[in-house]
Amino acid sequence: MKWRKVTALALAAVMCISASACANGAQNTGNTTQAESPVNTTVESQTSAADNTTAAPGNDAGNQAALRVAWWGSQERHNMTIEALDAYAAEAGTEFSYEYTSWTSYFENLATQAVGSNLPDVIQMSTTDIINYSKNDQIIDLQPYIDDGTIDISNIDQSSLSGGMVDGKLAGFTTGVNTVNVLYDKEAFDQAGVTYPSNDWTWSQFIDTAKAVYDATQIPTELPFLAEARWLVEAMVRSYGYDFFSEDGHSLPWAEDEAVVTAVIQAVQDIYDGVKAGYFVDPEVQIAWSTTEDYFIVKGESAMSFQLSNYYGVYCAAAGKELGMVMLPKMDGGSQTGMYLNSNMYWCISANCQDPKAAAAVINYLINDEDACKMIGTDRGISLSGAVREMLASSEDTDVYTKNTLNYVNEVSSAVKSTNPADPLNSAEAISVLKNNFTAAMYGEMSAEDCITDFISQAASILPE
Amino acid sequence: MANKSQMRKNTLLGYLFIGPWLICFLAFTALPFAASFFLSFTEYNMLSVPKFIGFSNYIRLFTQDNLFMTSLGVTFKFVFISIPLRLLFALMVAMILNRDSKAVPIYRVIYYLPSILGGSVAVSVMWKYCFSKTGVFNSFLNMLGIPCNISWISNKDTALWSIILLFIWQFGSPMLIFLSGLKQIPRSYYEAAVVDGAGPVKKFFRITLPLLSPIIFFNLVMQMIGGFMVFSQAMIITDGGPMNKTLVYALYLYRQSFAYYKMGYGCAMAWILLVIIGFFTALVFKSSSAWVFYENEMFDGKSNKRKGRARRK
Repeated sequence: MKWRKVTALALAAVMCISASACANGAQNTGNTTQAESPVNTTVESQTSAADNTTAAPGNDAGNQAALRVAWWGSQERHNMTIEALDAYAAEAGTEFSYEYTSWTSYFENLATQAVGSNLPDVIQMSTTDIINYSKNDQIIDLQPYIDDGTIDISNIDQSSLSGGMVDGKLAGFTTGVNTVNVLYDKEAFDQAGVTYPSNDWTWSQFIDTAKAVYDATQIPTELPFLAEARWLVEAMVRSYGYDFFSEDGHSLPWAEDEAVVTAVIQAVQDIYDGVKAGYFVDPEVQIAWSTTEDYFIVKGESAMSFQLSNYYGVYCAAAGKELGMVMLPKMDGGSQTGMYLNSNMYWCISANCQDPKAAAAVINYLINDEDACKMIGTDRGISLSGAVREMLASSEDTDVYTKNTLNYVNEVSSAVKSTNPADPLNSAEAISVLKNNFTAAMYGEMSAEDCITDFISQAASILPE
Repeated sequence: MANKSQMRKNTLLGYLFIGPWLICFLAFTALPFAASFFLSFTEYNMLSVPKFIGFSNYIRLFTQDNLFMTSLGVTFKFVFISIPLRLLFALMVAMILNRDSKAVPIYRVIYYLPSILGGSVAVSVMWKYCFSKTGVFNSFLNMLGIPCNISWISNKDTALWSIILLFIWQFGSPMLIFLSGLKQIPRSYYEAAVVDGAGPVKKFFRITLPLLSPIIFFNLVMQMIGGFMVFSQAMIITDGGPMNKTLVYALYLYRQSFAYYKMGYGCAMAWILLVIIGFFTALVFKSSSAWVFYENEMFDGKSNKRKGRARRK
């Protein structure tokens, strides 16, 4: 009887281990089955119905293989991009195979494809991830295709183009620039009798404004960038003339300057004081927001909201009215505006692309072609091309929101000299520490001082030496 | 001779039958399993070749990574609260459904539904809205006259509980197993007990529980393994927040592997999880001799005594 029990036990143990290992293993090795991951809302390898493309992942060198283009985004972005690329396909005879997904699963898929040396030819890339792909030679230098004229940069702002540089190589072509802004609800301000903010306002004026509107109307202001505190702190340290990450990506240059650190801590404290006093939104409420419709600014329940400028149109549309838009406040002790321009995202060409010249031509089309830019609008940021910007600003098809965004970005770019470079290695992990600490500070679980000093010390160990 | 070739043919046929399973097992379990073990000793970002670094990943996990400990703590809390409650709930519902009624199959389907739906993204999203500040749950409480203003999923004390609750709600599969276990218990035992004057409580503790213990044991082991690997609910409802209060181990592992490009580190984490699950599974197995009762052992001296006692009373 006993041996039976022992075998049963052993068998059960093996089964348990293999059951758990199965799930673990599948998850870790980047297996595409993703049994564990439910966020698999991807639409993989969707070939467009309009042209007769064959999804040929092998990229046969002999016949003219379909160019695989990958991007993440919303349904609107999918539609706009497919429309633009289909038009190109009809004209140039290039065959496309589209691989578009939501943001959540995009980079898992991409990494898995990289493992199999099966990356799409043209890849939409984010500012945090490009460094990994470039440093590991998964994407190629685009400079040769600019030199041979495939990508026309005669209308492109050179300073913004540098946003795609990694180690002296043009790893990605900036799809458009983006920046941060403060949206304000004009009705709330009118009701409170408070004057609208202006581009040269300071941090203390911002706090006073939030308080004044709240005192008069009980309408609070949203916590600045609770979902990504880095955007807030970046604007603060830039006010003092520092970059957020050092050029070599090994440190936080502003962390050495005690005056700056103190000022950032004080600013975090200011916000927390506002949370306690009620003129900022309760962090427990705000942290649960995920879609545009959740934001109070859309419902007319908040006075001000910190956002990225490419979403301006989306927020106005959701609010059903034209929201005011102004630059982030400058720090009181700072020497300049804290505003900055970011590459919103990039177009990259993978190293295993069989026909990089054709891929570069597609990028050129998406960047420079007026019709393509009309279809895509400012969805991937404000175009680097002066000609395209002018075309969009003067076109009758362009709505007032897009025009406002164009004006705003023009104002910012005249105040800011260069575009941020791509984020350094391990930045994603460091930024998540800041986000977490900032949340904890807003919850009152962490002092403002610990929030910043703990981030500085953790970043030192996370960023590469 | 003919016999021999016949036998070989049979063997071949046998392999042919288990072939599909064998291939899938090798390709999707054994190989990734071995690969992840190897990768756990490397620095691997998926975009370049893995670099062997010995035990560095493991050392870093235990010495430098605060979030590793945090996520372990969250996971333990999650498992030790949600699994017993889930089993309790499953057993309770199974007991209720264990009766002769034409409606039982319908109830069974209804109670099993959450298990089918629960793993889906949609339900997690629904849960998120149910337990937000202005969600259904608070409205319900307000209707009952309990004013409640907590955002359950983003309050630091309740966030994990909202996920635990979702997990408990999906009690369907252990319930079905309990139900079939209950049906196996011969009715004559209960009848005999009633004749001897046993009440429902005594019947439950003296007959149902002991005879159901192998099923409880099985459910406990399987649920525990599943509990340690909880991922989707935490990812969708709270994304580990607020302040890492719901950062379960699998979610942190996923972040390291896919968001921070540290696949080697993630593999090391997976192996530690395997050891932990193995440890607790072994613990449950070890303890089982004390509380799991197999009916076919009735004729062993030990079990006879137990049954004898039941008889006497």
